[in-house]
Amino acid sequence: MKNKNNIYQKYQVEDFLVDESFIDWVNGRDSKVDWEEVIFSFPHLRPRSEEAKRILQKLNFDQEIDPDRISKLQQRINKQLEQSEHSKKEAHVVALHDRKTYYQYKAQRNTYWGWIASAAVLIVGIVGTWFWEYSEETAPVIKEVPYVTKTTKKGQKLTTRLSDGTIVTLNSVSQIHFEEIFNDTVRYVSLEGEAFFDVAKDVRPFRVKSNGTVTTALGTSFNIKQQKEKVSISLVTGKVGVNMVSKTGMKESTLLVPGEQVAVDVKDKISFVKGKFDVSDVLAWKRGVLSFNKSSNAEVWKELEKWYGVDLIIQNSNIKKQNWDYTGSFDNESLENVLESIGFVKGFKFEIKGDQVKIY
Amino acid sequence: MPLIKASYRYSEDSQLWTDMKFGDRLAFDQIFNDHIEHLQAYGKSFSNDDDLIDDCLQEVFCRIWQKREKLKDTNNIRYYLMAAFRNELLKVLKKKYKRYSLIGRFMPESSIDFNATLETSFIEEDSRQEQIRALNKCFEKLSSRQKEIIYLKYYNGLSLEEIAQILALDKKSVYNALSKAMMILRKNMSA
Repeated sequence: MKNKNNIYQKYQVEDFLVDESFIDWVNGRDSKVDWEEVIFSFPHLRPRSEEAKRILQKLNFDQEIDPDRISKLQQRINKQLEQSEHSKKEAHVVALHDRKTYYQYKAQRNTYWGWIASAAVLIVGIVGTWFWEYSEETAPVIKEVPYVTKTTKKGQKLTTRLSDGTIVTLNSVSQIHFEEIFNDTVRYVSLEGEAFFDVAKDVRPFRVKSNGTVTTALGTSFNIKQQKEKVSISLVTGKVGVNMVSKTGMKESTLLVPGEQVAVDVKDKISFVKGKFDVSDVLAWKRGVLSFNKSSNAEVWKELEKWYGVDLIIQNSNIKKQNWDYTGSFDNESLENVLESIGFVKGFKFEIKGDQVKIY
Repeated sequence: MPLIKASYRYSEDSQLWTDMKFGDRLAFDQIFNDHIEHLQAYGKSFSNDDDLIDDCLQEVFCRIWQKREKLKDTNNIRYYLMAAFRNELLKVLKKKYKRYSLIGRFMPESSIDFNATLETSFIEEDSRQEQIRALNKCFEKLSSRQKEIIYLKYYNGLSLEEIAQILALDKKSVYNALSKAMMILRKNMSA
Protein backbone atom coordinates (compact mmCIF):
# COMPACT_ATOMS: atom_id res chain seq x y z
CA MET A 1 0.00 0.00 0.00
CA LYS A 2 2.80 2.38 0.93
CA ASN A 3 4.62 1.83 -2.35
CA LYS A 4 1.51 2.60 -4.27
CA ASN A 5 1.02 5.82 -2.31
CA ASN A 6 4.57 7.01 -2.88
CA ILE A 7 3.50 8.97 -5.93
CA TYR A 8 1.67 11.39 -3.65
CA GLN A 9 4.79 12.28 -1.66
CA LYS A 10 5.60 15.26 -3.83
CA TYR A 11 2.00 16.45 -4.21
CA GLN A 12 1.56 20.23 -4.10
CA VAL A 13 -1.67 22.09 -3.40
CA GLU A 14 -2.30 22.39 -7.15
CA ASP A 15 -1.99 18.65 -7.58
CA PHE A 16 -4.55 17.98 -4.88
CA LEU A 17 -6.95 20.47 -6.43
CA VAL A 18 -7.20 18.62 -9.72
CA ASP A 19 -6.97 15.03 -8.43
CA GLU A 20 -10.36 13.42 -9.11
CA SER A 21 -10.19 10.96 -6.24
CA PHE A 22 -9.15 13.72 -3.82
CA ILE A 23 -12.12 15.85 -4.93
CA ASP A 24 -14.43 12.86 -4.44
CA TRP A 25 -12.98 12.33 -0.99
CA VAL A 26 -13.45 15.98 0.07
CA ASN A 27 -17.03 15.88 -1.21
CA GLY A 28 -17.82 12.75 0.75
CA ARG A 29 -18.17 10.44 -2.23
CA ASP A 30 -16.52 7.04 -2.70
CA SER A 31 -12.87 7.59 -3.46
CA LYS A 32 -10.42 5.28 -5.18
CA VAL A 33 -7.61 6.34 -2.85
CA ASP A 34 -7.59 6.15 0.92
CA TRP A 35 -6.52 9.75 1.55
CA GLU A 36 -6.62 9.37 5.34
CA GLU A 37 -3.93 6.78 5.01
CA VAL A 38 -1.87 8.75 2.47
CA ILE A 39 -1.81 11.83 4.71
CA PHE A 40 -1.15 9.69 7.77
CA SER A 41 1.93 8.14 6.20
CA PHE A 42 3.22 11.45 4.81
CA PRO A 43 2.47 14.05 7.50
CA HIS A 44 4.18 16.81 5.50
CA LEU A 45 1.22 16.62 3.09
CA ARG A 46 -1.30 17.64 5.72
CA PRO A 47 -0.98 21.46 5.41
CA ARG A 48 -1.15 21.18 1.62
CA SER A 49 -4.20 18.94 1.60
CA GLU A 50 -5.88 21.16 4.18
CA GLU A 51 -5.37 24.21 2.00
CA ALA A 52 -6.71 22.38 -1.05
CA LYS A 53 -9.72 21.30 0.99
CA ARG A 54 -10.40 24.92 2.07
CA ILE A 55 -10.29 26.11 -1.53
CA LEU A 56 -12.57 23.34 -2.76
CA GLN A 57 -15.09 24.10 -0.06
CA LYS A 58 -15.36 27.67 -1.24
CA LEU A 59 -16.36 26.62 -4.74
CA ASN A 60 -20.05 26.51 -4.01
CA PHE A 61 -22.52 28.15 -6.35
CA ASP A 62 -25.67 30.18 -5.88
CA GLN A 63 -28.85 28.31 -6.67
CA GLU A 64 -32.28 29.91 -6.48
CA ILE A 65 -35.28 27.67 -6.01
CA ASP A 66 -38.75 28.68 -7.16
CA PRO A 67 -41.32 25.95 -6.42
CA ASP A 68 -44.02 27.77 -8.39
CA ARG A 69 -41.93 27.84 -11.49
CA ILE A 70 -41.14 24.14 -11.13
CA SER A 71 -44.75 23.06 -10.69
CA LYS A 72 -45.81 25.16 -13.70
CA LEU A 73 -43.13 23.51 -15.81
CA GLN A 74 -44.24 20.09 -14.66
CA GLN A 75 -47.84 20.85 -15.63
CA ARG A 76 -46.73 21.98 -19.07
CA ILE A 77 -44.78 18.77 -19.57
CA ASN A 78 -47.73 16.61 -18.49
CA LYS A 79 -50.04 18.49 -20.84
CA GLN A 80 -47.72 18.14 -23.82
CA LEU A 81 -47.25 14.42 -23.19
CA GLU A 82 -51.00 13.91 -22.97
CA GLN A 83 -51.59 15.78 -26.22
CA SER A 84 -48.94 13.85 -28.09
CA GLU A 85 -50.48 10.56 -26.93
CA HIS A 86 -53.72 11.70 -28.56
CA SER A 87 -52.19 12.99 -31.76
CA LYS A 88 -50.36 9.72 -32.27
CA LYS A 89 -53.70 8.01 -32.75
CA GLU A 90 -54.89 10.65 -35.20
CA ALA A 91 -51.67 10.93 -37.16
CA HIS A 92 -52.44 7.97 -39.40
CA VAL A 93 -55.52 9.62 -40.83
CA VAL A 94 -53.82 12.68 -42.30
CA ALA A 95 -51.48 11.85 -45.17
CA LEU A 96 -53.99 10.24 -47.50
CA HIS A 97 -53.55 12.20 -50.70
CA ASP A 98 -50.39 11.39 -52.56
CA ARG A 99 -47.98 14.27 -52.81
CA LYS A 100 -46.57 13.11 -56.13
CA THR A 101 -49.88 13.01 -57.93
CA TYR A 102 -50.65 16.43 -56.54
CA TYR A 103 -47.53 17.94 -58.07
CA GLN A 104 -48.08 16.14 -61.39
CA TYR A 105 -51.50 17.64 -61.45
CA LYS A 106 -50.15 21.12 -60.74
CA ALA A 107 -47.42 20.77 -63.36
CA GLN A 108 -49.89 19.81 -66.06
CA ARG A 109 -51.89 22.90 -65.34
CA ASN A 110 -49.03 25.32 -65.57
CA THR A 111 -45.65 24.06 -66.68
CA TYR A 112 -44.00 27.48 -66.82
CA TRP A 113 -44.67 28.33 -63.18
CA GLY A 114 -43.76 24.79 -62.33
CA TRP A 115 -40.23 25.32 -63.65
CA ILE A 116 -39.76 28.55 -61.74
CA ALA A 117 -41.05 26.92 -58.60
CA SER A 118 -38.68 23.98 -59.03
CA ALA A 119 -35.71 26.30 -59.52
CA ALA A 120 -36.69 28.31 -56.47
CA VAL A 121 -37.05 25.17 -54.40
CA LEU A 122 -33.62 24.04 -55.56
CA ILE A 123 -31.97 27.31 -54.56
CA VAL A 124 -33.72 27.46 -51.24
CA GLY A 125 -32.75 23.85 -50.75
CA ILE A 126 -29.06 24.45 -51.36
CA VAL A 127 -28.92 27.54 -49.16
CA GLY A 128 -31.02 25.82 -46.55
CA THR A 129 -28.79 22.78 -46.45
CA TRP A 130 -25.78 25.03 -45.93
CA PHE A 131 -27.42 26.80 -43.02
CA TRP A 132 -28.69 23.57 -41.61
CA GLU A 133 -25.25 22.03 -41.65
CA TYR A 134 -23.86 25.20 -40.18
CA SER A 135 -26.19 25.01 -37.24
CA GLU A 136 -25.99 21.27 -36.78
CA GLU A 137 -25.15 20.19 -33.25
CA THR A 138 -22.65 17.69 -32.01
CA ALA A 139 -24.16 14.21 -31.91
CA PRO A 140 -27.09 14.00 -29.49
CA VAL A 141 -26.63 11.77 -26.46
CA ILE A 142 -29.68 9.68 -27.25
CA LYS A 143 -28.80 6.31 -28.76
CA GLU A 144 -31.17 3.56 -29.81
CA VAL A 145 -31.18 0.05 -28.40
CA PRO A 146 -33.09 -2.69 -30.22
CA TYR A 147 -35.91 -4.28 -28.26
CA VAL A 148 -37.86 -7.45 -28.91
CA THR A 149 -41.50 -8.10 -28.10
CA LYS A 150 -42.97 -11.63 -28.18
CA THR A 151 -46.69 -12.13 -28.02
CA THR A 152 -48.91 -15.19 -27.90
CA LYS A 153 -52.54 -15.31 -28.96
CA LYS A 154 -55.33 -17.53 -27.71
CA GLY A 155 -54.43 -21.20 -27.95
CA GLN A 156 -50.73 -20.48 -28.54
CA LYS A 157 -47.68 -21.21 -26.41
CA LEU A 158 -44.14 -20.15 -27.09
CA THR A 159 -40.69 -21.05 -25.81
CA THR A 160 -37.93 -18.56 -26.49
CA ARG A 161 -34.27 -18.16 -25.62
CA LEU A 162 -32.96 -14.76 -24.51
CA SER A 163 -29.49 -13.44 -25.31
CA ASP A 164 -28.10 -14.61 -21.94
CA GLY A 165 -29.34 -18.19 -22.39
CA THR A 166 -32.40 -17.83 -20.19
CA ILE A 167 -35.35 -19.86 -21.44
CA VAL A 168 -38.80 -18.36 -21.24
CA THR A 169 -42.00 -20.31 -21.84
CA LEU A 170 -44.88 -18.02 -22.58
CA ASN A 171 -48.45 -19.14 -21.90
CA SER A 172 -51.28 -18.08 -24.19
CA VAL A 173 -52.46 -14.43 -24.37
CA SER A 174 -49.19 -13.16 -22.88
CA GLN A 175 -46.40 -10.83 -23.85
CA ILE A 176 -42.75 -10.26 -22.95
CA HIS A 177 -40.61 -7.30 -23.88
CA PHE A 178 -36.81 -7.24 -23.54
CA GLU A 179 -33.55 -5.94 -24.97
CA GLU A 180 -32.36 -8.01 -27.93
CA ILE A 181 -28.90 -8.10 -26.34
CA PHE A 182 -28.99 -7.46 -22.62
CA ASN A 183 -26.89 -4.55 -21.35
CA ASP A 184 -23.90 -4.87 -19.02
CA THR A 185 -25.64 -4.06 -15.78
CA VAL A 186 -29.03 -5.75 -15.65
CA ARG A 187 -31.20 -8.24 -17.55
CA TYR A 188 -34.62 -6.66 -17.64
CA VAL A 189 -37.82 -8.18 -18.96
CA SER A 190 -41.37 -6.88 -18.71
CA LEU A 191 -44.25 -9.33 -18.70
CA GLU A 192 -47.98 -9.28 -19.23
CA GLY A 193 -49.83 -12.56 -18.68
CA GLU A 194 -48.09 -15.76 -17.62
CA ALA A 195 -44.61 -17.12 -18.21
CA PHE A 196 -42.10 -19.58 -16.78
CA PHE A 197 -38.49 -18.43 -16.51
CA ASP A 198 -35.51 -20.75 -16.38
CA VAL A 199 -32.87 -18.15 -15.68
CA ALA A 200 -29.30 -18.71 -16.85
CA LYS A 201 -26.61 -18.11 -14.22
CA ASP A 202 -24.96 -14.74 -14.72
CA VAL A 203 -23.48 -11.95 -12.60
CA ARG A 204 -26.09 -9.50 -13.88
CA PRO A 205 -29.34 -9.64 -11.93
CA PHE A 206 -32.37 -10.84 -13.85
CA ARG A 207 -35.45 -8.70 -13.28
CA VAL A 208 -39.02 -9.26 -14.40
CA LYS A 209 -41.43 -6.38 -14.15
CA SER A 210 -45.12 -7.19 -14.07
CA ASN A 211 -47.82 -4.76 -12.97
CA GLY A 212 -46.15 -3.04 -10.03
CA THR A 213 -43.97 -5.99 -9.05
CA VAL A 214 -40.32 -6.53 -9.83
CA THR A 215 -38.91 -10.02 -9.31
CA THR A 216 -35.13 -10.23 -9.09
CA ALA A 217 -33.18 -13.45 -9.51
CA LEU A 218 -29.65 -14.58 -10.21
CA GLY A 219 -29.91 -18.16 -11.49
CA THR A 220 -33.26 -19.74 -10.73
CA SER A 221 -36.52 -20.90 -12.22
CA PHE A 222 -39.87 -19.40 -11.37
CA ASN A 223 -43.32 -18.82 -12.74
CA ILE A 224 -45.15 -15.48 -12.91
CA LYS A 225 -48.85 -15.17 -13.59
CA GLN A 226 -50.42 -11.76 -13.99
CA GLN A 227 -54.13 -11.14 -14.42
CA LYS A 228 -55.08 -7.47 -14.23
CA GLU A 229 -53.90 -6.21 -10.84
CA LYS A 230 -53.15 -9.69 -9.52
CA VAL A 231 -49.70 -11.18 -9.91
CA SER A 232 -48.56 -14.47 -8.48
CA ILE A 233 -44.93 -15.51 -8.42
CA SER A 234 -44.00 -19.12 -7.72
CA LEU A 235 -40.40 -20.13 -7.13
CA VAL A 236 -39.25 -23.59 -8.22
CA THR A 237 -35.47 -23.47 -7.64
CA GLY A 238 -32.94 -20.93 -6.33
CA LYS A 239 -33.88 -17.68 -4.65
CA VAL A 240 -35.73 -14.56 -5.74
CA GLY A 241 -36.66 -11.20 -4.24
CA VAL A 242 -39.95 -9.54 -5.09
CA ASN A 243 -40.32 -5.77 -4.90
CA MET A 244 -43.76 -4.21 -5.12
CA VAL A 245 -44.64 -0.59 -5.83
CA SER A 246 -48.22 0.67 -5.75
CA LYS A 247 -49.53 3.48 -7.95
CA THR A 248 -49.28 5.82 -5.00
CA GLY A 249 -45.62 5.01 -4.47
CA MET A 250 -45.99 2.61 -1.54
CA LYS A 251 -43.21 0.02 -1.43
CA GLU A 252 -42.98 -3.55 -0.12
CA SER A 253 -40.58 -6.41 -0.65
CA THR A 254 -40.28 -10.10 0.20
CA LEU A 255 -37.93 -13.04 -0.39
CA LEU A 256 -39.04 -16.44 -1.67
CA VAL A 257 -37.50 -19.85 -1.05
CA PRO A 258 -38.14 -22.84 -3.35
CA GLY A 259 -41.71 -24.12 -3.15
CA GLU A 260 -42.98 -20.74 -1.97
CA GLN A 261 -45.48 -18.61 -3.80
CA VAL A 262 -46.54 -15.01 -3.31
CA ALA A 263 -49.83 -13.61 -4.57
CA VAL A 264 -49.73 -9.84 -4.95
CA ASP A 265 -52.55 -7.40 -5.52
CA VAL A 266 -51.27 -3.96 -6.47
CA LYS A 267 -53.64 -1.08 -6.94
CA ASP A 268 -53.39 2.03 -4.79
CA LYS A 269 -52.36 -0.21 -1.93
CA ILE A 270 -50.30 -3.35 -1.86
CA SER A 271 -51.59 -6.58 -0.41
CA PHE A 272 -49.78 -9.87 -0.64
CA VAL A 273 -49.99 -13.38 0.79
CA LYS A 274 -47.22 -15.94 0.88
CA GLY A 275 -47.71 -19.68 0.95
CA LYS A 276 -46.61 -23.09 -0.32
CA PHE A 277 -47.67 -24.17 -3.77
CA ASP A 278 -47.96 -27.40 -5.69
CA VAL A 279 -45.26 -27.34 -8.40
CA SER A 280 -47.10 -29.79 -10.62
CA ASP A 281 -50.20 -27.67 -10.36
CA VAL A 282 -48.65 -24.29 -11.12
CA LEU A 283 -46.43 -25.57 -13.90
CA ALA A 284 -49.01 -27.94 -15.40
CA TRP A 285 -49.62 -25.55 -18.27
CA LYS A 286 -46.01 -25.91 -19.35
CA ARG A 287 -46.36 -29.66 -19.82
CA GLY A 288 -49.61 -29.30 -21.74
CA VAL A 289 -51.74 -30.19 -18.74
CA LEU A 290 -54.82 -28.07 -18.33
CA SER A 291 -55.61 -27.95 -14.66
CA PHE A 292 -58.26 -26.35 -12.51
CA ASN A 293 -58.00 -25.90 -8.79
CA LYS A 294 -61.22 -24.80 -7.09
CA SER A 295 -62.01 -22.58 -10.05
CA SER A 296 -65.21 -20.59 -10.50
CA ASN A 297 -67.22 -21.11 -13.70
CA ALA A 298 -66.05 -17.76 -15.08
CA GLU A 299 -62.43 -18.85 -14.56
CA VAL A 300 -63.07 -22.18 -16.26
CA TRP A 301 -64.61 -20.54 -19.35
CA LYS A 302 -61.82 -18.02 -19.60
CA GLU A 303 -59.10 -20.65 -19.25
CA LEU A 304 -60.73 -22.84 -21.91
CA GLU A 305 -60.96 -19.92 -24.33
CA LYS A 306 -57.28 -19.09 -23.81
CA TRP A 307 -56.09 -22.70 -23.91
CA TYR A 308 -57.91 -23.82 -27.04
CA GLY A 309 -58.22 -20.44 -28.79
CA VAL A 310 -61.99 -20.54 -29.04
CA ASP A 311 -64.93 -18.28 -28.16
CA LEU A 312 -67.47 -19.74 -25.75
CA ILE A 313 -71.10 -18.73 -25.97
CA ILE A 314 -73.04 -19.70 -22.86
CA GLN A 315 -76.68 -20.10 -23.72
CA ASN A 316 -77.68 -22.12 -20.68
CA SER A 317 -78.87 -19.66 -18.02
CA ASN A 318 -78.74 -22.31 -15.26
CA ILE A 319 -75.05 -22.80 -15.91
CA LYS A 320 -74.47 -19.04 -15.75
CA LYS A 321 -76.05 -18.84 -12.29
CA GLN A 322 -74.13 -21.76 -10.81
CA ASN A 323 -71.28 -21.21 -8.39
CA TRP A 324 -68.53 -23.65 -9.27
CA ASP A 325 -65.62 -24.84 -7.23
CA TYR A 326 -64.20 -27.00 -9.96
CA THR A 327 -61.07 -29.10 -9.63
CA GLY A 328 -59.68 -31.35 -12.33
CA SER A 329 -56.82 -31.79 -14.77
CA PHE A 330 -56.55 -32.83 -18.38
CA ASP A 331 -53.31 -34.16 -19.81
CA ASN A 332 -53.08 -33.10 -23.46
CA GLU A 333 -56.79 -33.73 -24.04
CA SER A 334 -58.89 -32.39 -26.89
CA LEU A 335 -61.44 -29.64 -26.25
CA GLU A 336 -64.21 -32.12 -26.99
CA ASN A 337 -63.08 -34.54 -24.27
CA VAL A 338 -62.60 -31.75 -21.76
CA LEU A 339 -66.05 -30.27 -22.36
CA GLU A 340 -67.60 -33.71 -22.29
CA SER A 341 -66.19 -34.49 -18.88
CA ILE A 342 -66.98 -31.10 -17.33
CA GLY A 343 -70.43 -31.16 -18.94
CA PHE A 344 -71.11 -34.58 -17.49
CA VAL A 345 -70.49 -33.33 -13.96
CA LYS A 346 -72.08 -29.90 -14.28
CA GLY A 347 -74.91 -30.90 -16.58
CA PHE A 348 -74.55 -29.09 -19.89
CA LYS A 349 -74.26 -29.92 -23.56
CA PHE A 350 -72.09 -28.28 -26.21
CA GLU A 351 -71.56 -27.83 -29.89
CA ILE A 352 -68.22 -26.99 -31.54
CA LYS A 353 -68.28 -25.12 -34.85
CA GLY A 354 -64.81 -23.95 -35.93
CA ASP A 355 -63.63 -21.68 -33.14
CA GLN A 356 -67.13 -20.99 -31.83
CA VAL A 357 -68.42 -23.18 -29.02
CA LYS A 358 -72.03 -23.14 -27.86
CA ILE A 359 -72.83 -24.27 -24.32
CA TYR A 360 -76.47 -25.13 -23.73
CA MET B 1 -23.40 22.91 5.68
CA PRO B 2 -22.80 20.16 3.12
CA LEU B 3 -20.56 21.16 0.27
CA ILE B 4 -22.68 19.63 -2.46
CA LYS B 5 -26.22 20.61 -1.59
CA ALA B 6 -27.65 18.65 -4.42
CA SER B 7 -25.72 15.47 -3.87
CA TYR B 8 -27.71 12.28 -4.17
CA ARG B 9 -27.09 8.58 -4.50
CA TYR B 10 -25.75 7.58 -7.88
CA SER B 11 -26.12 3.90 -7.09
CA GLU B 12 -29.87 4.02 -7.53
CA ASP B 13 -29.74 5.79 -10.88
CA SER B 14 -29.39 2.72 -13.00
CA GLN B 15 -32.52 1.09 -11.55
CA LEU B 16 -34.55 4.31 -11.65
CA TRP B 17 -33.62 4.95 -15.26
CA THR B 18 -34.51 1.38 -16.27
CA ASP B 19 -37.89 1.68 -14.54
CA MET B 20 -38.54 4.90 -16.44
CA LYS B 21 -37.58 3.24 -19.72
CA PHE B 22 -40.14 0.54 -19.06
CA GLY B 23 -42.88 3.14 -18.75
CA ASP B 24 -42.91 3.77 -15.01
CA ARG B 25 -44.35 7.26 -14.79
CA LEU B 26 -43.46 7.57 -11.10
CA ALA B 27 -39.82 7.00 -11.95
CA PHE B 28 -40.07 9.71 -14.60
CA ASP B 29 -41.57 12.16 -12.11
CA GLN B 30 -38.90 11.33 -9.59
CA ILE B 31 -36.17 11.99 -12.13
CA PHE B 32 -37.78 15.35 -12.87
CA ASN B 33 -38.05 16.32 -9.21
CA ASP B 34 -34.55 15.15 -8.32
CA HIS B 35 -32.80 17.25 -10.94
CA ILE B 36 -34.99 20.13 -12.06
CA GLU B 37 -33.65 22.75 -9.63
CA HIS B 38 -30.17 21.93 -10.66
CA LEU B 39 -30.92 22.09 -14.34
CA GLN B 40 -32.65 25.44 -13.98
CA ALA B 41 -29.60 26.80 -12.17
CA TYR B 42 -27.32 25.42 -14.87
CA GLY B 43 -29.48 27.11 -17.50
CA LYS B 44 -29.32 30.41 -15.65
CA SER B 45 -25.56 30.38 -16.08
CA PHE B 46 -26.09 30.70 -19.82
CA SER B 47 -29.13 32.95 -20.02
CA ASN B 48 -31.29 35.15 -17.83
CA ASP B 49 -34.39 34.24 -19.83
CA ASP B 50 -36.22 31.87 -17.47
CA ASP B 51 -38.99 31.19 -20.00
CA LEU B 52 -36.54 30.13 -22.64
CA ILE B 53 -34.78 27.85 -20.14
CA ASP B 54 -38.06 26.23 -19.15
CA ASP B 55 -39.04 25.76 -22.81
CA CYS B 56 -35.83 23.83 -23.38
CA LEU B 57 -36.37 21.75 -20.24
CA GLN B 58 -39.90 20.94 -21.37
CA GLU B 59 -38.54 19.80 -24.72
CA VAL B 60 -35.83 17.65 -23.12
CA PHE B 61 -38.14 15.92 -20.62
CA CYS B 62 -40.90 15.33 -23.18
CA ARG B 63 -38.41 13.83 -25.59
CA ILE B 64 -37.03 11.55 -22.88
CA TRP B 65 -40.48 10.20 -22.04
CA GLN B 66 -41.55 9.81 -25.65
CA LYS B 67 -38.37 8.03 -26.69
CA ARG B 68 -37.84 6.25 -23.38
CA GLU B 69 -37.74 2.76 -24.85
CA LYS B 70 -34.92 3.66 -27.18
CA LEU B 71 -32.71 5.53 -24.72
CA LYS B 72 -29.30 4.29 -23.74
CA ASP B 73 -28.80 3.00 -20.21
CA THR B 74 -27.08 5.28 -17.74
CA ASN B 75 -25.87 5.08 -14.18
CA ASN B 76 -25.52 8.86 -13.87
CA ILE B 77 -28.82 10.56 -14.65
CA ARG B 78 -27.51 13.99 -13.65
CA TYR B 79 -24.83 13.78 -16.32
CA TYR B 80 -27.27 12.53 -18.92
CA LEU B 81 -29.76 15.31 -18.26
CA MET B 82 -27.12 18.05 -18.14
CA ALA B 83 -25.67 16.91 -21.44
CA ALA B 84 -29.06 16.69 -23.16
CA PHE B 85 -30.23 20.01 -21.72
CA ARG B 86 -27.03 21.86 -22.59
CA ASN B 87 -27.29 20.62 -26.16
CA GLU B 88 -30.87 21.82 -26.47
CA LEU B 89 -30.32 25.17 -24.74
CA LEU B 90 -27.24 26.06 -26.78
CA LYS B 91 -29.02 25.13 -29.99
CA VAL B 92 -31.88 27.49 -29.15
CA LEU B 93 -29.59 30.27 -27.95
CA LYS B 94 -27.50 30.10 -31.11
CA LYS B 95 -30.62 30.32 -33.22
CA LYS B 96 -31.73 33.34 -31.23
CA TYR B 97 -28.41 35.17 -31.54
CA LYS B 98 -28.28 34.47 -35.26
CA ARG B 99 -31.57 36.17 -35.66
CA TYR B 100 -30.85 39.28 -33.61
CA SER B 101 -27.30 40.31 -34.31
CA LEU B 102 -24.85 40.39 -37.16
CA ILE B 103 -21.95 39.10 -35.09
CA GLY B 104 -24.21 36.45 -33.69
CA ARG B 105 -25.15 35.45 -37.20
CA PHE B 106 -21.66 34.38 -38.13
CA MET B 107 -20.20 33.53 -34.76
CA PRO B 108 -23.08 32.32 -32.64
CA GLU B 109 -20.67 30.62 -30.26
CA SER B 110 -19.09 33.90 -29.24
CA SER B 111 -22.31 35.25 -27.80
CA ILE B 112 -22.81 32.31 -25.46
CA ASP B 113 -21.10 32.71 -22.14
CA PHE B 114 -21.14 30.70 -18.98
CA ASN B 115 -21.65 32.95 -15.97
CA ALA B 116 -22.19 31.68 -12.47
CA THR B 117 -21.32 33.35 -9.20
CA LEU B 118 -19.99 31.65 -6.14
CA GLU B 119 -22.27 31.44 -3.17
CA THR B 120 -21.77 34.20 -0.60
CA SER B 121 -24.90 34.15 1.50
CA PHE B 122 -23.99 31.58 4.14
CA ILE B 123 -20.80 33.23 5.32
CA GLU B 124 -21.23 35.59 8.23
CA GLU B 125 -17.77 36.63 9.31
CA ASP B 126 -16.67 39.84 7.64
CA SER B 127 -13.15 38.69 6.99
CA ARG B 128 -14.33 35.61 5.09
CA GLN B 129 -16.90 37.66 3.17
CA GLU B 130 -13.99 39.73 1.99
CA GLN B 131 -12.10 36.62 0.91
CA ILE B 132 -15.04 35.24 -1.01
CA ARG B 133 -15.61 38.56 -2.72
CA ALA B 134 -11.99 38.53 -3.83
CA LEU B 135 -12.34 34.97 -4.98
CA ASN B 136 -15.46 35.82 -6.93
CA LYS B 137 -13.71 38.71 -8.62
CA CYS B 138 -10.97 36.38 -9.67
CA PHE B 139 -13.43 33.70 -10.72
CA GLU B 140 -15.17 36.17 -13.00
CA LYS B 141 -11.92 36.76 -14.85
CA LEU B 142 -11.64 33.12 -15.85
CA SER B 143 -12.73 32.13 -19.34
CA SER B 144 -16.27 30.90 -19.90
CA ARG B 145 -14.94 27.42 -20.50
CA GLN B 146 -12.84 27.36 -17.33
CA LYS B 147 -15.79 28.53 -15.27
CA GLU B 148 -18.04 25.86 -16.68
CA ILE B 149 -15.49 23.13 -16.08
CA ILE B 150 -15.11 24.23 -12.44
CA TYR B 151 -18.88 24.26 -12.08
CA LEU B 152 -19.27 20.78 -13.56
CA LYS B 153 -16.32 19.26 -11.71
CA TYR B 154 -16.50 20.68 -8.17
CA TYR B 155 -20.15 21.53 -7.85
CA ASN B 156 -21.78 18.71 -9.84
CA GLY B 157 -19.13 16.09 -9.26
CA LEU B 158 -18.97 14.94 -12.87
CA SER B 159 -15.89 13.05 -13.95
CA LEU B 160 -13.39 14.59 -16.34
CA GLU B 161 -14.50 12.01 -18.89
CA GLU B 162 -18.10 13.17 -18.66
CA ILE B 163 -17.14 16.84 -18.81
CA ALA B 164 -15.09 16.15 -21.93
CA GLN B 165 -18.16 14.52 -23.49
CA ILE B 166 -20.44 17.42 -22.64
CA LEU B 167 -18.07 20.09 -23.94
CA ALA B 168 -16.95 18.02 -26.95
CA LEU B 169 -13.30 18.25 -25.89
CA ASP B 170 -10.74 15.59 -25.14
CA LYS B 171 -10.04 14.67 -21.54
CA LYS B 172 -6.53 16.08 -21.61
CA SER B 173 -7.65 19.59 -22.53
CA VAL B 174 -10.32 19.53 -19.84
CA TYR B 175 -7.64 18.59 -17.33
CA ASN B 176 -5.32 21.32 -18.57
CA ALA B 177 -8.01 24.00 -18.48
CA LEU B 178 -8.97 22.93 -14.97
CA SER B 179 -5.45 22.93 -13.60
CA LYS B 180 -4.70 26.33 -15.16
CA ALA B 181 -7.88 27.78 -13.66
CA MET B 182 -7.11 26.38 -10.22
CA MET B 183 -3.61 27.76 -10.38
CA ILE B 184 -5.02 31.26 -11.00
CA LEU B 185 -7.59 30.93 -8.23
CA ARG B 186 -5.05 29.70 -5.73
CA LYS B 187 -2.52 32.40 -6.46
CA ASN B 188 -5.25 34.92 -5.87
CA MET B 189 -6.35 33.40 -2.62
CA SER B 190 -2.95 33.18 -0.97
CA ALA B 191 -2.05 36.72 -2.01
